[in-house]
Amino acid sequence: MTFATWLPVDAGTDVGDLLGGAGDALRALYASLWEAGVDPAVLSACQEAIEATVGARPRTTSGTVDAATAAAVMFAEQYVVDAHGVTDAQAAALHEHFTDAQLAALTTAIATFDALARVRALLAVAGGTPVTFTMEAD
Amino acid sequence: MRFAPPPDGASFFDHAPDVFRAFNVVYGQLWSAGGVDQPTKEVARLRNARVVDCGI
Repeated sequence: MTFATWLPVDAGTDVGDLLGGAGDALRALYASLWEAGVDPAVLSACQEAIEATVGARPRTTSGTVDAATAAAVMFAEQYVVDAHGVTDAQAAALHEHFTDAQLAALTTAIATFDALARVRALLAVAGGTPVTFTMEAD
Repeated sequence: MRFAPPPDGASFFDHAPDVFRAFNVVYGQLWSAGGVDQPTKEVARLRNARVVDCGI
C-alpha cells in the first residue's frame, strides 16, 4: 500500500525498512498469519473491516457473508473499538466456527492488522512524501 | 475461560505455536533494535497499556 507521509524520508521508501530487523520479522509474522489454517478470505475480510474502522479505507458493503466470516469480522471490529467489550455470545460464536488453533492465529492476525492500520494512519498526511509499508514478499 | 491455553501451554496463543513464535520475534526486535532507547519504549508501552486498560 502506498500512502503519503510526513516522515522526512525519500519518496518510495518502505516504512518497514526503517525498522531494522523488526521490519523483516514483521513481514515473517505477516506471512505466517496466512499459513496458519485460517481461510484467507476470512483474514482479508477482517483486515478490510479493521482498516475501515480505523479510517484507513472506505467501508465496503460486499453483501452477505457466511456465519464464520461474520463472527470473525465482528470480533475484529470489537477488538479495534474496545477489546474489553467482547461478549460471551461473541466468544461462543467464534468457538462454533473456529478451532482453538485457528482462533489463536485469528487473534494474532487481528492484532497485527490493527497495528499496521494504525501505524499507516499515524504516519499519513495529505500532500506528503509517497512511501510504502509492504508486508507481502516480492 | 473464553480462550483457554492448551494443556501443555501457558498461553492461549500456544495453540498456534508458529504464529506465536513469529510474533515473539517481532516483539523482541522492537525492544532490542532501532533508534529509540528502551526507557522511552517502556514509557510508550505503559502509556498504551493504561489507555487501553490492559491491567498491568
